[in-house]
Amino acid sequence: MAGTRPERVPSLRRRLLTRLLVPLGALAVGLGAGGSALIHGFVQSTHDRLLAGSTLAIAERLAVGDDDGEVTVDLPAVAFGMLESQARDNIYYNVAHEGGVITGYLDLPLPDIHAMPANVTVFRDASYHGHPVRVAAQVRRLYGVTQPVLVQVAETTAGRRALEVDLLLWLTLLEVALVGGSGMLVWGAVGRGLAPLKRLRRVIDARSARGGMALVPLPLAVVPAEVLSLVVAINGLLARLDQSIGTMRRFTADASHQLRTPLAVLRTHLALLRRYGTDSAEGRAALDDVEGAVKRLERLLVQLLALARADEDAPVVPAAPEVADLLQVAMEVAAEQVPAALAQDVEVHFEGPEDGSALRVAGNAVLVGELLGNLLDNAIRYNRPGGTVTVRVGEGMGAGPMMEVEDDGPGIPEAERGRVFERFYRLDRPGEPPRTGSGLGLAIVRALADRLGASVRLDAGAEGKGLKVTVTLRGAENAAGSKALAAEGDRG
Amino acid sequence: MRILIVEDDAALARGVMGGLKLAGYAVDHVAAGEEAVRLERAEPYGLVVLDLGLPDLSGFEVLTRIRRRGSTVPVMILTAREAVADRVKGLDLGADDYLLKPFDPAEFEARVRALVRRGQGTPVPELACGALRYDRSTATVTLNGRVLDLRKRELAVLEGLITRAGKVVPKDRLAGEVFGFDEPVAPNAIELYVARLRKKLEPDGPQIRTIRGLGYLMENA
Repeated sequence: MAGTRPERVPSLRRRLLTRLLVPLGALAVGLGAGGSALIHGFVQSTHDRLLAGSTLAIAERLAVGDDDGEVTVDLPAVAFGMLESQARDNIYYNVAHEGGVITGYLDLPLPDIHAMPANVTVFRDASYHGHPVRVAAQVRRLYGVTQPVLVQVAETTAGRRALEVDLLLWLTLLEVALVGGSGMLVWGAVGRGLAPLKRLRRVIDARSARGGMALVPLPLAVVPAEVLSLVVAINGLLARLDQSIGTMRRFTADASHQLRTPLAVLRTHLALLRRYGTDSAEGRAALDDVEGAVKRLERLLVQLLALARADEDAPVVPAAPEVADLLQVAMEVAAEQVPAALAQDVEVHFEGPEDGSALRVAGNAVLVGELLGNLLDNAIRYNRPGGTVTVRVGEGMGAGPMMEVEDDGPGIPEAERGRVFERFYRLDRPGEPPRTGSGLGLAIVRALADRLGASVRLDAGAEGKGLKVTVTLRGAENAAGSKALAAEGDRG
Repeated sequence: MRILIVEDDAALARGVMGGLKLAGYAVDHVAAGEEAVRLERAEPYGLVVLDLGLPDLSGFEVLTRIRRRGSTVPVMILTAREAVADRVKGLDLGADDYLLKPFDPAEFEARVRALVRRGQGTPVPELACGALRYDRSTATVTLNGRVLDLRKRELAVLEGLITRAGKVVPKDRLAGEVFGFDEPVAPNAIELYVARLRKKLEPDGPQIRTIRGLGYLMENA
């Protein structure tokens, strides 16, 4: 786990924590806001009730003098007793009648009495001596006086604030504990949830420790359902890797096998040359064999390189679609091969489209040329003296432009046609001298065809003699549409 | 001494044969397995050099068939197949040696000499008969310390006789060992070589006696 994790991808734990804690925190802030409003309302209403109680207690003691009609109030102790619990708060009160204060604080401001309903406690926020106060006021109509009487009790708000802050603090603490606790739970749960992956890692570590490439599928039993598809995909990759390493090993073994014989030829004949010198008939014969062996090695090298190039992991369809003129490429390649063919007493015929129009195919011209070159080389090399090789290019039967190389040589028995595409597979024909081919020609053709998205077909030549190889390429016009088709077809 | 080369690569076969012929062996070459089995049955080979990748039968199959008939001819597998499994299989099927291509021609010829010696039941590199000494690793013959100048055929005749000194060697068997297939052989060629050899062994060498109707015998001193 240590060290080289790319920085841009945060850990699973961090992702989960972020995804969980950010919304949870936002929720907590929202709840806190709502909570603070609730607390405010709750504290206000509780305190207001007490304030209203004390206002009511004073109002209940209002009396009108029988004789003089004076309004009097007998302030009850209980009126302020119920407010006493908030020791820090100051209480102010007054009773007013006919615009004048009868008793209490003279400067406690008076509301507009006439706008107020009778016998109902009305609350308001006000300021008194520079301090905010909450005022409860009630208007009473007393029997015997015409003007209503106002009773007011005010209280500074420090107690309310303190209680609100206190409650809010507790709420906040609870929320912090909730969010923090969730974070810790997630932290632990991620660790426990990832335990199967750690087990998987140990399985892989154990394999690496044993050395070698153990490309055996990973066990699915230890894997939780969520990563099952991932492990299945990895197993698929392992299988393909195993297969391609196997192919590579076989290829290396085959290649070294192919190299050994010409090298042995070189060594034995060089030893002979050392004894005979180059002047004798034996020496000259040995020189011929040395030269032949060197040619074989050269050709083998060229073909191995061609195969490696054809095998490159290039995209089947290049980014910028390339277009080649099949007719021109084929004519050039065929012309190039004519001297080699004549040297083997083989004739090369070329048949293009009758109107001589260009054949646009999708793909790189060099690849197309190399494909045809290998087919032609095969047809010439494995032909008989006096044989004929015909190269044909044209619009195929609907599938796309095609090129065909037909010879009248020994052909390939139908049963062998599937195998000749294998690397280093060589046909041995009893009763004929062994061939000097490397067994790579058709393997190269297959690899190139795969890259071009072309299909290759082997048939007997005309009148059942020889071999006819038909390559169907993708036309340049419909290349885009048949991308997917070409990529998945023709591989079998 | 006659050797059968079973190798489908013509150039390599030519190289191997060239070296062996220079060393005084009679060499036959076939490129296919069936023919190798047939030839080995018909001719008195002192060694079979066998390639594994043959066009018709595999070398293993050729070896199996040769051994199934009870033939004890030494067989050297000469192949490009390097897998340990192939070597084990080859040796277990009855091969006496397994040499990987490419090889050093000098080592190849030394192994050929060793196998031939073993095949004759005489693993010592030097054979002696009286005052006559034959060093097989250098193909030199000395008589009382004096080096004899023997031609290739004479040496082959001498080898055929000295390895079985004191015993009758049938004439056609001796001829079979001395001449390869591709060599034109006159009917009385073997008599000619025996006569020449006799002359060169005089006066103090071992006698080569003609046993009428049976063959030749080199007398133990």
